[in-house]
Amino acid sequence: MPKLTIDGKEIEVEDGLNIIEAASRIGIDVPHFCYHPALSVVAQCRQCLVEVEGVPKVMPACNTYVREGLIVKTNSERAVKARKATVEFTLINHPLDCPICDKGGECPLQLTTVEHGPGYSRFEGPEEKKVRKKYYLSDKIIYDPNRCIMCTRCVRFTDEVTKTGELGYNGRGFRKKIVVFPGKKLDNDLAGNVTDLCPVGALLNKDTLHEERVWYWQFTDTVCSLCSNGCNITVGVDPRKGKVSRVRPRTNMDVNEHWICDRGRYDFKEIQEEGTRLRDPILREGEGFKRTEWDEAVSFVAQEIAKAKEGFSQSIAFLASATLTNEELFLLKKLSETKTPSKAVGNIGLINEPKRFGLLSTDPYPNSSGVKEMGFPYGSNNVLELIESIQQGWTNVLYVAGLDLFDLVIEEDKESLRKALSKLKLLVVQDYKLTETVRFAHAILPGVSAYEREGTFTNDRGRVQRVRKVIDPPGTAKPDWEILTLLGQSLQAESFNYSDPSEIMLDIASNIAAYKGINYDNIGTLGASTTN
Amino acid sequence: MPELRIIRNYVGIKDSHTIESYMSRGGYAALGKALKMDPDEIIDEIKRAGLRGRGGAGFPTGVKWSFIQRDSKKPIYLCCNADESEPGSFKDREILEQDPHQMLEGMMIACYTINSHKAYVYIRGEMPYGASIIEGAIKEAYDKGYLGRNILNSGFDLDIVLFRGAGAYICGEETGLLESIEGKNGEPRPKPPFPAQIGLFGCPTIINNVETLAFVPHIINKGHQWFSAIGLPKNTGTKIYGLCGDVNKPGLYEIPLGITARDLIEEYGGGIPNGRKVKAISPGGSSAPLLTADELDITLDFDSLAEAGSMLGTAGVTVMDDNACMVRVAQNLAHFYRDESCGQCVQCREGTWWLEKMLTMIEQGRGKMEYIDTLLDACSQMRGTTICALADGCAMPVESIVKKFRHEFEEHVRLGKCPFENKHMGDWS
Ligand SMILES: Cc1cc2nc3c(=O)[nH]c(=O)nc-3n(C[C@H](O)[C@H](O)[C@H](O)COP(=O)(O)O)c2cc1C
Ligand code: SF4
Ligand code: SF4
Ligand code: FES
Repeated sequence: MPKLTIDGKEIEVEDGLNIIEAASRIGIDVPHFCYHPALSVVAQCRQCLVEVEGVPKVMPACNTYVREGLIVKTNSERAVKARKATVEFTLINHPLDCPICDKGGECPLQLTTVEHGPGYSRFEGPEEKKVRKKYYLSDKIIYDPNRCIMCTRCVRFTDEVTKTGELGYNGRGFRKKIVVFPGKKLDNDLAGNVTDLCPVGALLNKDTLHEERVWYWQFTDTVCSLCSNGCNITVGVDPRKGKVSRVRPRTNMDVNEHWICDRGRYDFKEIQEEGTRLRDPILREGEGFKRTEWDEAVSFVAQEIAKAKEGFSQSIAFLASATLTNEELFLLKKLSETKTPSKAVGNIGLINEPKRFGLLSTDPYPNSSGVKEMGFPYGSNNVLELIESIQQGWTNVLYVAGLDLFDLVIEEDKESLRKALSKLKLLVVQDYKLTETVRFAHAILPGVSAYEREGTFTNDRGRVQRVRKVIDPPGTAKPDWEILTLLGQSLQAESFNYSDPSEIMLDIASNIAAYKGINYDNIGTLGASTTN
Repeated sequence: MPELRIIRNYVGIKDSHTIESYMSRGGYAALGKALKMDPDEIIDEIKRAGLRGRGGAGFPTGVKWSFIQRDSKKPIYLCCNADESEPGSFKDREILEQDPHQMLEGMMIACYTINSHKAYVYIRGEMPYGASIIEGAIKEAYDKGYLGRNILNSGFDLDIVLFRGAGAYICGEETGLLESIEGKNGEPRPKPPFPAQIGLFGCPTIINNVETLAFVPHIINKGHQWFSAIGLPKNTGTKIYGLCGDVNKPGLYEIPLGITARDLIEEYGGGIPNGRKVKAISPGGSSAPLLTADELDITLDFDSLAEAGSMLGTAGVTVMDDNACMVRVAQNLAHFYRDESCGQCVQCREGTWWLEKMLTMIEQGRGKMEYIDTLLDACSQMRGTTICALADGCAMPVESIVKKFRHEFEEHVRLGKCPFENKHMGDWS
């Protein structure tokens, strides 16, 4: 471990670090554009220039590596002047149209200019800046060559991370611009990451073009719910609209490194808008439905469950989705076992091919691991057997949480499922949107969507991570853990005494071996591993 | 100072480019001799001869060769830099077209010394004639057994490949050249690592200029004492000066290092046409800071020019007479570098563009006084801050022009127009 001195402070760090990384360890920020920890070092932007004792020229910190006895000055007059000049050069042909640029407010160039720039430009005649046309690199991403500072992060991303090589540059010197290879589009599954990598507003999302103003947003660190990988994300919500405006990756080297896939990034619009939301509890009344209050709905469902549990064990069954949190699954399992143990089955997804780019899993659910670990018999046999049991009339009370039965059967079997569901004595559906299953329900308990949930998911590598509420549910809909708590209290008050998901996790930790010792503190923002 | 022809001795003679001609004057004897020497002995010989690189930076060639780890597990490469694209530089071209076997023999000796079995001649794309000559010369060398397997029964194998550039000055920069051979955009690499460690295809590589390599067989034949006795201490041997611009007899002259600029212009160039006077010269291609008429007694060698704040560079000496508009000269230079910048570094990509803009405004009478200091400041920040020396190559001459001819810039601004009538822009275009 070499010892070196940066700005008079001595530090000891591991070999192989460059000066940008080493300086950041002691809180010194060396501004940079082209350097990115996941990409090769090209030292092109020249923004990271620092003084190295014994070297006559200022050196790029990104391409200067730690070694014993190195003395680096990031704040010497020469280094500061060189970086100031770099900003001025960078801005010569940059349009300075921040007021209409989506990147404004979170733009590394803007921030660097404020922090390290000269605060003025001696370049005159803005009408004579280079002006070139914008063009699309894909259906989703637009490129503005005028704003581009040629850091080549985007090109290196497609060369080195996705290895799909769609991007290149064309022209030399001041004519240089980023292009897609003829006949190609920048449309690989991770393509959207270039919009985060770009240190200026040169690569923007077409979907939200001119809609984004980052300073209005509130950001929440959470995980993606769209597959079993559990990529760490930060979600930006515009509180004026109460809607998700942006999903972007959050670095977690054990899960998704720096990236997310384009589904996770772009599909929030559809997820937010898909289907009809269930806003209030609903009970069946004759042939129709009536909206009701939670008190009434909960006591009705609790009574019916209690009644059914007095019958023979097959007659009531609980069906859980792998979109529920560990806490919710734990409560549902507990509910199924309250008073007498009854049938409980979980539906999970399968990983049947290697993850694409190491991220995208074929299991479309965030918590198949949780379903297994909270003790639900799982797998398609168990699910089909339950459906069979309904069709045979052995099960006549069914509690479904978070899924649509019609998604689980093939087209030809849907008609017989409809018949079976209409024969049920009681169907309780806890879900956030109107599904075909909901249409057969006797009691509808409105839960929350992916962005409204609070709890933990366990990803397919056994990492327990927090999912956070980023927006409020509509109407009087309640978080699923709360619905289950209310039902539990109605059935057996003393053992369902939870006021927060963190308390449920404490119970999980003391009941399920793999979760021993796990709590919300040690899960933190990056997760904790289950033991197995 | 009299001319002394080592490399140019046979130019202009019929069929001088053929292997027969070369062998008839003792060609390829040095190779035979070298193959019997120990590589360290050859390095020592080149070091003691004091041979310095003729590609621009004047780096000692023997020292450069010694950087190669000869027992590397990876292949080792040699690249002969025949990209000669700098304005005012045309010395390598003559060697390539008229007497290329000296260079090839130099390459063979270099390869033997650094344990390389494959070498490239990277020739400027705009030299199709030179390329055809080199192609023929390589073939001749294969036919005579100087290339291929087991050369002269020494057990040494070597292949030489001709590679034609696609028209970019930046591919003459040694790592831009390597990228180009690898089939990529000719963009210089950040250093370290240096090519001697990680060069062509990630392998140890030496890059040498045409003229540098052409000296090698002569040194092996005649010994280091002979070579080091020519020229000045630490600036040994002859140098091919390319004289152009406002002189009566432009052309190539091979002279021992140490001639003054004045003697070169007067004795060899025959003075300035039409009885005019020298205003400025560039002593070393377009990248060197300019010298004024008062500085003509400086000797044109590596160290004296460095001491005078300029450089020998390619030793392409361009003369500007007192009719030259120095603003126009600077603008012309900036224009060239703006077009040739590879565009990686912001100081270079934007700096050359900005300099050209400001210089154009001044030249057209639209400039302001404060541009003059801005030019100097921009130049000072383009120097020593980029990946390669192209940005320096633009900033250094422009800066020297602004400093040494500031009054002309001020006059442009004051008059709101260029004060020169029949002006010209130096001979670079
Ligand atoms: C922009 C630029 C262009 C260059 N062009 C050439 C060239 O055309 N030929 C050349 O020999 N060296 C050129 N050089 C210098 C080479 O980088 C390198 O120093 C040289 O080939 C080394 O050879 P030498 O040691 O024999 O001098 C150039 C350097 C720069 C920065
Ligand atoms: S588009 Fe953005 S990421 Fe790509 S080179 Fe330009 S500035 Fe860099
Ligand atoms: S200094 Fe200019 S030519 Fe050299 S690497 Fe940088 S941008 Fe390219
Ligand atoms: S971050 Fe070092 S040069 Fe770009």
